Amino acid sequence: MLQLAIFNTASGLMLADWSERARDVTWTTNAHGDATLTATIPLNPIEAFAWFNLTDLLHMEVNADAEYLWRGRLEDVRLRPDGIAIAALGQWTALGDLPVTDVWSDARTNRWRPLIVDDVPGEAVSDAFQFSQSSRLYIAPRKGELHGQGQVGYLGYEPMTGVTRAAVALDFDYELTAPITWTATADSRDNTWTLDTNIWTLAGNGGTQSGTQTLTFSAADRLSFGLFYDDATPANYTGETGDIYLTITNVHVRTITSIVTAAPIAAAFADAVNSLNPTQLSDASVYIEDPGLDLYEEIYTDADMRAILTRLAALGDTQGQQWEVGVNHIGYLYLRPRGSAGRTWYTDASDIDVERSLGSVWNSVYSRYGDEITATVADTSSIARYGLTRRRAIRSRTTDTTQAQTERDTSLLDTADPLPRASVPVDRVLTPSGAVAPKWLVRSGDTMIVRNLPPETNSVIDRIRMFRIHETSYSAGTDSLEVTPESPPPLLEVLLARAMEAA
Amino acid sequence: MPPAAYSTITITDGTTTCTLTDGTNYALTMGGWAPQVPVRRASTLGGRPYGPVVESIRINIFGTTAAAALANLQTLMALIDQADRWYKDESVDPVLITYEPQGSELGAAVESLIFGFAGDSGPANLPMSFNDELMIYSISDVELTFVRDGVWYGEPDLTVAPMVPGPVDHPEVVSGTFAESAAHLSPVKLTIADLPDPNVFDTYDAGLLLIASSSNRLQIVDAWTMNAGAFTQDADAAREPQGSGVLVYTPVGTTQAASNTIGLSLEAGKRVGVVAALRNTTGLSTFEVQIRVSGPSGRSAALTQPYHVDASTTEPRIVVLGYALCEEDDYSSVQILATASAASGTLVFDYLGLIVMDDPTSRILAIGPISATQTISSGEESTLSIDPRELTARTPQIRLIGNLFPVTHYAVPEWWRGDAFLLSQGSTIAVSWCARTSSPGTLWRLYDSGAAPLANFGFSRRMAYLVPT
Repeated sequence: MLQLAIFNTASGLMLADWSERARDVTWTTNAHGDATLTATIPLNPIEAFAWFNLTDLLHMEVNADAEYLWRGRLEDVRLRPDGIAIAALGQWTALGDLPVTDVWSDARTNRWRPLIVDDVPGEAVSDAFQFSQSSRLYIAPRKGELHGQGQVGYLGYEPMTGVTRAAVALDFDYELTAPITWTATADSRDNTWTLDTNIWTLAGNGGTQSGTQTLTFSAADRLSFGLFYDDATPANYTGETGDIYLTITNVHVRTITSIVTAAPIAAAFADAVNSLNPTQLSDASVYIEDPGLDLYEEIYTDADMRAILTRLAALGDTQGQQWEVGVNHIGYLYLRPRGSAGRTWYTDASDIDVERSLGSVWNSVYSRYGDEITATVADTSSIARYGLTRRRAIRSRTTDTTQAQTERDTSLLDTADPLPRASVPVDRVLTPSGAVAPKWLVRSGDTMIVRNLPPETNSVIDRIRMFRIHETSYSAGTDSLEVTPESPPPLLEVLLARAMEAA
Repeated sequence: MPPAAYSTITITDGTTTCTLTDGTNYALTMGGWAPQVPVRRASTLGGRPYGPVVESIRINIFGTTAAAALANLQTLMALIDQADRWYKDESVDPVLITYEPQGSELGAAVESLIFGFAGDSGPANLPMSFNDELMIYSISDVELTFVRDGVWYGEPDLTVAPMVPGPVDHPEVVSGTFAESAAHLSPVKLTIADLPDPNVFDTYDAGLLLIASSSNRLQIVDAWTMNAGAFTQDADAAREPQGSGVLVYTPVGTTQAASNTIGLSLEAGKRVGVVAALRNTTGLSTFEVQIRVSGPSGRSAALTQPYHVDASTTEPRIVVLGYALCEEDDYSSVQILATASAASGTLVFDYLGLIVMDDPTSRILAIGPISATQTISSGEESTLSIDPRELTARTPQIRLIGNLFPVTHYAVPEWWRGDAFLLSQGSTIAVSWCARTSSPGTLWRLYDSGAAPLANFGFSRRMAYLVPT
């Protein structure tokens, strides 16, 4: 039999065991772990007011023989004529207790600006240059201006206010066209623009030099690229503006020396929450796996960590697997392939609600990109099954033919045979070996196989025979379980989201 | 016992009693009452296994005067009102209905708690002849209506002290037999008596209680005997292991390693709970532990979910590893599977506890630390009591009771997890106490070297009846 109890903290004193007293007890799980718990506690008015007035942060649990089933914090207490109604939220909610402002990887060029003399007093800053920061960084000496070692054209990078992480890596492609008397540099600087370290130097060679750099350095608040006439005797530049230039493309500032993936971000979030509210989330990272996907632009301004982590998990990994993120029973943040910690259950459907709509079927697709279109591709199996060819055009935000074709093919995969909407009431839950299991063991991320559907393949029914569970809702009073099958986001949306990450 | 000559029904709070069959103040009307029969609660939350029932009893009330008759009515109404107030946690005594049917051979009435008013109804419907009959000092055909606990409880069966074997060298399984076999789920009070002086141990880090209906459904496995490959034996005598020694897993890599299998004698069931006493000795690695439970010839193998052993402490821990969900079969062997995060450190096991969980009498009850020395004095032996309080309270109680006569002191655990409303069915019961102390924190068990092994387990069960007997 299960226990519903309330504690003063997750590891603290038990304040009440409400197992027998509570009514209408229902708890849910989703991809982020324990989601909600609601119950009504019949109490006399004095006790009801006492609980209502208790503003301490209280911890709710459902336990099965001393093993956690659901854990979270008491969020809402509502007075009723017959007692109190309570609502608790799972430990995932702790990640919403503080916003995050930080930079992990910044590929924006518009975050760079020309430095002026007032920015760096005592340093040889010059405005005798032409600058550009739209889509690339560009520094070129202007014709007729005085140039020398005391006149450096700088483009400086400065993150927004509130950022706590320092830059430790800088990636970029460069092109320097300059005679040997000109020198390009990259420097790390402190938050007053004072020079820390010169991290890159390239002298002109009379021609054009290009390449790629990946630099790591000690923590720096700010960065700069510079170009200057490297001669002790200043001279007027008589060439045309643009004949000598430094161009920086694919600039990428990182605040970790390795590639930026979801794992260190998740670990840092856990650490931040634990620092603020140690009882709400562990700072352990043992359950944070690494999807390996290089995240190109991760900049957060007063952002909700939950939204960030949910987006990062949805991007998946380098193998195209979907991932999930949440908090487990012992208060550890997890990041892992979707369903990797799930179990497989069998059930016999006594009733099933399935809806399929022809309106969601598109089995012939072409892509328009710019003024061009790709060839049309079709799914012959879908055409044969539905007895109909339904064709649509998608618009690709690319000028690359291959990318447009990939998006076309992905769209066809999504829509040639769409997953029907379904809900499955669960009367009995069985293990793969046939053992009957308590329904309260079923959780989001588990896989459910409906045993008694007609044994047809390549059919609509076959698409819901086995599904991953998106959400569970269990009511203790009636021992009833409802599961919501997962509807994975269309592959095309994931593809486009990842393309935007890399752009 | 000789059969009861006539039926006796009372409503009482222990001080004030209304005997509804005394024939002087109260009497049942002809065909005035048949006790309601409860059903099992549908809820999977713990507590009383049977649901409440609404009783409706028709009685006549008498008195030597009209005022006396009215006073008798008032007394009855006050008791039912008191029951309602008690159920709403006011500081009043609980109210019971007792019933000894004519012909009962139990020798005492069975009892049931009254929970109070039935819905929005008052405690009684008075007849339309109410005003007329007062002149003859009676109130006829009063319909009492109230909610009571669906179950009737008999006298406590104080049995099985000491149990076999005893005194107990925990976590050894002890079992006992009640005088009678319970046909229905009946509440059980567990006591663990003659515990050592709490000042020997500053704090009980009390651990887990495993309770089952028989010793065929509960087994403690000495991990020492599961040595194979990377799993080796060590005496570890200074830490007081429960058997000959402990089992040490020394990882050579990060792939899963398996211990030797060891035989089980558990009877068939569908869900096996597994607990373990284990220790991460260095904190250099973390471990994932699973337990494989298998039927004959290795069939019906089932695994618990991976349990993460972190590096938070190098002291022994007693933990719930989870459930193995099995096709119903006799279990014949158990095996430890361990995976290390690095090829360093060791993970040590003292014992495993396995309990067949798929009946409502099985329990894994985790009892938190008890800081006893603040209330229980040096020299006091103490008793740990897990009491369902089926006739006195709405929730069970766990507490440590100091036995220094004449003053009794109490200490309560910081928390417990699991259903403390212990139940029994049939005639047998078995228990294992997997406990340790946090001071000294190095020990596997509850006592220091040289101290006497504890303890005496006792069970007190009230037989539950769905119909009065």
